[in-house]
Amino acid sequence: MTNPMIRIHNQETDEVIDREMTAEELAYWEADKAAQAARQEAEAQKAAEEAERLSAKLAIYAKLGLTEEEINTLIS
Amino acid sequence: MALVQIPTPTVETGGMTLLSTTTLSGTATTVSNINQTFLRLLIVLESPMWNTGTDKIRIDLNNVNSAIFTAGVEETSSNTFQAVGLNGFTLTVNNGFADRSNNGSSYCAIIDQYATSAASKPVQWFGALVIGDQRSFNHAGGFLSSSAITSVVVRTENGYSFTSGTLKIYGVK
Repeated sequence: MTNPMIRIHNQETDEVIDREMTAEELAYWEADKAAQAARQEAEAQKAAEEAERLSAKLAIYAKLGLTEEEINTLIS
Repeated sequence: MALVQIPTPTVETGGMTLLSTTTLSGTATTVSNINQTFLRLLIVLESPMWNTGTDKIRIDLNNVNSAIFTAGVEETSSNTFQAVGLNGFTLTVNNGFADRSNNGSSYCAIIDQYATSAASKPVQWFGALVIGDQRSFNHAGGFLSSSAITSVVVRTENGYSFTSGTLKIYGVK
């Protein structure tokens, strides 16, 4: 299996090289992708928790007999 | 009362020089050995497109993303904005795969004191994505590294291959 291709443009010489990633670059790339995936998962988890909190809050307001307009005023 | 002529100031600095133009290709496009004789860099990324998948554009400095700290605002849907704090020149809004066929998205980044050993180099990153309509954004912060910036890497967060797009780097006096 070939490694992903990258382009490197040397600004000093204006030379452009297209080549496969070296093993070292690929290792860095894979580690970065894993870190990125972990970050995205954490963000998704945070968003889900936030949505859950809001949903619980809305349920309590509804139990209090507030109108939709009143609830919107409280949470906005 | 006599009129006093205000002298015209002499402009001693100023001006912008195009240092390089690079067509995006591969899973990452790097501009290396960046000229170190200017006061700031202006990075312009025009219509980057990739082969598949919904993803976000990202720019790394010196091949490092985590040292860039920014706070800003992004338009998450038409005329709806959210405040965000991020590591890196990246966004929380995806550039949809389906929208790439008419992609007019463009991005601009300014890096001050890029060629110095300043511990925090001021940065700003702004632009608009085309996602059916458009999503504007503006982030500002700093690159927290005392190393001079000698390379810029453009990629998507998940590493898709670029099919087109142009990276222009200007030096500003």
